[in-house]
Amino acid sequence: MEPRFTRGEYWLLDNVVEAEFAICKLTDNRNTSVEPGFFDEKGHGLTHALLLEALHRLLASGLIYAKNEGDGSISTAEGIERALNETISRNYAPFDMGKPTFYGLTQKGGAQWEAFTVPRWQKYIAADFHWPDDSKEAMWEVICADKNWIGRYYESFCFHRQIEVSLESIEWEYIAPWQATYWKQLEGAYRLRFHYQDKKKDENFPPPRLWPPETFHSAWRDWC
Amino acid sequence: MEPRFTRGEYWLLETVVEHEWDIPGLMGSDLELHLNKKGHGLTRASLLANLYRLLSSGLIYAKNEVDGFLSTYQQIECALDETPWQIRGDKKYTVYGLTQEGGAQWEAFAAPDWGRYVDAGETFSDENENGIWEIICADKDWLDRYCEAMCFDHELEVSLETIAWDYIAPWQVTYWKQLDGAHRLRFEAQDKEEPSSLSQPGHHPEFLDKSWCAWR
Repeated sequence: MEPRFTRGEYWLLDNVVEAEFAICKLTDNRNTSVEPGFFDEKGHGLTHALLLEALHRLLASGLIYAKNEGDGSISTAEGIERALNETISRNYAPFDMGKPTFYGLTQKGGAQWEAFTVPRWQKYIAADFHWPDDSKEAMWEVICADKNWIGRYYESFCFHRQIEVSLESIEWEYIAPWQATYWKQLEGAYRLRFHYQDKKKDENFPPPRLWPPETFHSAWRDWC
Repeated sequence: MEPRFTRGEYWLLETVVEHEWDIPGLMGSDLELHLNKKGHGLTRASLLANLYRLLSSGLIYAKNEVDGFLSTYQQIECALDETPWQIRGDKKYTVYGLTQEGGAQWEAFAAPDWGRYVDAGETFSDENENGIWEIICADKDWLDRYCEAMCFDHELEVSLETIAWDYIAPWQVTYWKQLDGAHRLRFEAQDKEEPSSLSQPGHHPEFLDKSWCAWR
């Protein structure tokens, strides 16, 4: 049986493919509007009532879970309603209660999201700073199952960020298995680490409106 | 009532948002290449079922010059067996497209930003050695960004005295969608004599092209 989604349901699943998300943040303007935001992202466009319904439907179908430190797992519409009304500060620190309620994909939800999206996990990139134990200097770390894709990302990263890579610091490694996200494990992936520093400003640098390396982050899940 | 789609249904709708597409071509092995996007991933039986479901719900139409509009399961099945348009010659071929209802339901899922829809093309004439570009978009700022990216990417030298702006209203964006109006930019351009030595990693104006209907 092929999964069948409304825009709202699919948006809610897609929103937590890489990381869990605080339910109360779903009521932010940034997430309720379908007008493209600062990063050209679109929100779910649901009213409060429709959002509540969609979340509860996904929860009841076992496609998502919702949990917080106080209550553990949430399973009722009332629990979701309370979660939507929680208040948190910008860094998720609680104002007057425990951490907010987060939701995430179950294995079944992940599988149904995959059936609709047909993602190319080989192109999934995880990039962040890595702090070696014995060093005060951070390394940039990029992990992806497709080694060529890392190469293209690296080229774009160096070009757009105007950085100079310390060539002797470059380290390649293969890690297996690779926990790509909190619910998805891949057989293995390549890991590239390197030190870099900013280049001197190049006045001839081309217009900054060209697309940055972030586009590589979305290519793996581009729907069509 | 919010529309609810399978991947196959949504894929079939999304594929014909800008142009009709031929039904036998949906079975072609080089479909992804022709459409420049991921394939539908459906078996023949599933494709047939999806097409017929969309047709019988009034979200798509299917037609050819011989039979006119198709309405039965058997007709769709026959259409899948036709020769694809790439090698059809003069033979009959069946295309499908969005109805107004299909367009509306696709819009409900995709929430497209029509303001950013860009229609761009270059024409040549015997009298003029320069290419004549025409770019149309409802959002003037977006049109500017597109033009800048395109000229950079294609290394074009724009002939400044040929730049002409106007506003067209209404604007028939696609075969099923009309907007109140849009800005139109026309100019002549030629390839730069000294192409930039700067090698630019693969980002193209096509990213700007896609963003109007990037669904989130």
